[in-house]
Amino acid sequence: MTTLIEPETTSAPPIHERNAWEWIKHNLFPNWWSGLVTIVLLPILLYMAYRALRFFFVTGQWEAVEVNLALFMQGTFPRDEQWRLIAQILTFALAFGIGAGTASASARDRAEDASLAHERGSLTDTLKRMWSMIAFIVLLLVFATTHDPGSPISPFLVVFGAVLAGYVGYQARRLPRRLRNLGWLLTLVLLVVGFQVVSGFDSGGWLPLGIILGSAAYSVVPVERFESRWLRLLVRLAAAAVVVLVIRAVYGAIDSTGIGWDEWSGLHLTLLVSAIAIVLAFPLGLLLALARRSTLPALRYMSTVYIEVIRGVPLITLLFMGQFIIGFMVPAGTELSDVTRAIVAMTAFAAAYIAEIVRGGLQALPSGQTEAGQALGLAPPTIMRRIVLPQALRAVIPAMVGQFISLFKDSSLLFIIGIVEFLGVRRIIHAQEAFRGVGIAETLVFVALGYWAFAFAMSRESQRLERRLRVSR
Amino acid sequence: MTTDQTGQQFADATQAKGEALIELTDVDKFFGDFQALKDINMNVGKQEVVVVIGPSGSGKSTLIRCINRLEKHDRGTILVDGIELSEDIRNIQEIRRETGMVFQQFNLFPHLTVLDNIALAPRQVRREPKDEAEKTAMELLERVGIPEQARKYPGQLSGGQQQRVAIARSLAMKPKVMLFDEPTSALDPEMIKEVLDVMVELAEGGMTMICVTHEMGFARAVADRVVFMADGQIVEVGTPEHFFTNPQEERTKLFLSQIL
Repeated sequence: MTTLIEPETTSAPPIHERNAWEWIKHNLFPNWWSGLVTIVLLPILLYMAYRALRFFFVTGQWEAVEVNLALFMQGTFPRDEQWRLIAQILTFALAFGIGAGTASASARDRAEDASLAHERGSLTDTLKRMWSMIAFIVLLLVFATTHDPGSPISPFLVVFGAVLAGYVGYQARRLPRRLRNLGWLLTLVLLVVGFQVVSGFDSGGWLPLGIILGSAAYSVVPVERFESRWLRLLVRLAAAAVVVLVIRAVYGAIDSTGIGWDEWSGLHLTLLVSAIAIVLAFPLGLLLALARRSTLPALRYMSTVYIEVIRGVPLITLLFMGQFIIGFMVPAGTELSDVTRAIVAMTAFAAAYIAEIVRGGLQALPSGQTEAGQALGLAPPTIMRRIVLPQALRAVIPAMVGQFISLFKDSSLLFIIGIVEFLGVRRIIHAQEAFRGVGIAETLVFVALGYWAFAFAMSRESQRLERRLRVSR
Repeated sequence: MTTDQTGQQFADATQAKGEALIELTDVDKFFGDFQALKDINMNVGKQEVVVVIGPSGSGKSTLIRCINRLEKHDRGTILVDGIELSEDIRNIQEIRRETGMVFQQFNLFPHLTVLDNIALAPRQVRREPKDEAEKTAMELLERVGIPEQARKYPGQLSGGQQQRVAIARSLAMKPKVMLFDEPTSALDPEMIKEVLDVMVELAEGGMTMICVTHEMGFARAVADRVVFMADGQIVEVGTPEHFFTNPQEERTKLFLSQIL
């Protein structure tokens, strides 16, 4: 991973090495009342730390977690279809690797162009951002070895494979500049494929790849030699249509059903549901924010009403309503699974908040930016797309990631409407004879650690993104 | 010089020599109850350089911002190259493409490189191919003297360099008239000259320009006419030499005594 940094011009101030005694004096006993606070608090903190460590390593009854590790991870996912999950992990690892490699390469190019100092991201850098997730994975491996889940494939092998796939993918940073968009395209395609490895490549599943590859075809087909604008548009649309039809045909030919998300559970469901809700809520929120600032009153009022209503209602209410009310809003006879309804509710909820965040970013942009665009004779949509949005969205990355993190954590509410996600697995575990009333705190701590590991990594990633984009502000 | 003669000279100076590119007739502009422009009548001829001066709040910026419809005038007519400003967005955009504008705060796009800042409008508005637009952008950067900064971001440049990029950005649309809204007011003193040099060169190259500025040296050197505004009205118009050496109105004399 790479970052852009401002060139270092000043030399570092002299460092005064403090010995331990000075440190204690400076930080713990700077004056009499701080010293008193230290004397009172220190034993209490030490005692709490002792109890916590004792719980972790001595008294904790971790069998409840160890025995049910597979349940936590994949829930009630059919065990004989487990290869799908492994294939998904490997595909996603490859996709993330390619994405990270491509992002790194384009950051490097931009830094070189602008003759900014460019710091090649090191392994320590990556570890600093990802340590919470790495620690969690190590914890999983420790649990997995202390209790053999009888899985035919060693978890070590899967983790090793994922790291390898990620590393291979990361080599995308070596691709020449003109292939940069190919890297992004590959990332998107692999994400979809990784999803469908589990959900199946049935004939109806052509849509996501159709959109991605169709738009790719639309933008890469060479049209320069056509003079007429309409002819160019026609050729582009034709190319997109051909690609979409081919993809449709391929899916129709494969037509193999997999395990739909109604049958997913555990951490697997939590991660996927959050990811899908985030991916859908972002464009929806963006449109709502634009609608709320629109000059068309009807659009503005509709958006405002939507945002204010949704923001005034707790998510759990929306989730319950989703279970009962969405049924009235879709054509009769449409079957919607509980998970689909939950995703709809979560997306609707998050979109309202994202809309407000984006609106904040739009308002913070100095009016001179729009005026400069207007003065150049740019059309309003172009000003929005090329000038306003890129800056407004950059400015709200921290708030947006915060919203994503809370959406991820809020997915635990699905447990209340009877969907067995990461937290909900506990209910199954403690319904078992062996663990009735046993290890309740332990499973809770484990789940909390799991959420924290991902949330913390997301937060760190957003900090890095912020740093990287600061230069071109 | 008799009063009659100066009066005659003054009357002549209110009109552009030759064909008018910009014509404002009886223009009024209100911000709520406050009247920012009162009964403005003014024209600017082809290749003419008009400098607008006046105390702050006198409506100078509002005046030139009305010409490319960054502000909407409430009464009167504004003609730019024969096109009358109306509500029609296409009409407004057509006029904006003919007028370049340079702002006090530069208003460069901070998320784009210098080159992209300049090439954006030609690519988006005129659909120029990328390499062609970038080639023109490089030529313009050479013209304003900073081709080596092409791949940098505006935030890495000094104020003077940024303003020169802003000028190049406006020129990329090949405007018929350039509007300058206090282009040097936000600059540190040592950077003012490099921007003025570019503007002088532009004026000498025959560009039609309207400049709101406090740079009296610039006004003296290149202006064909100086327009003095106060309280939303045009108080006095004259050639620079007439204007600075023999102002007619009390208000003008007061202002000049304060700044010179």
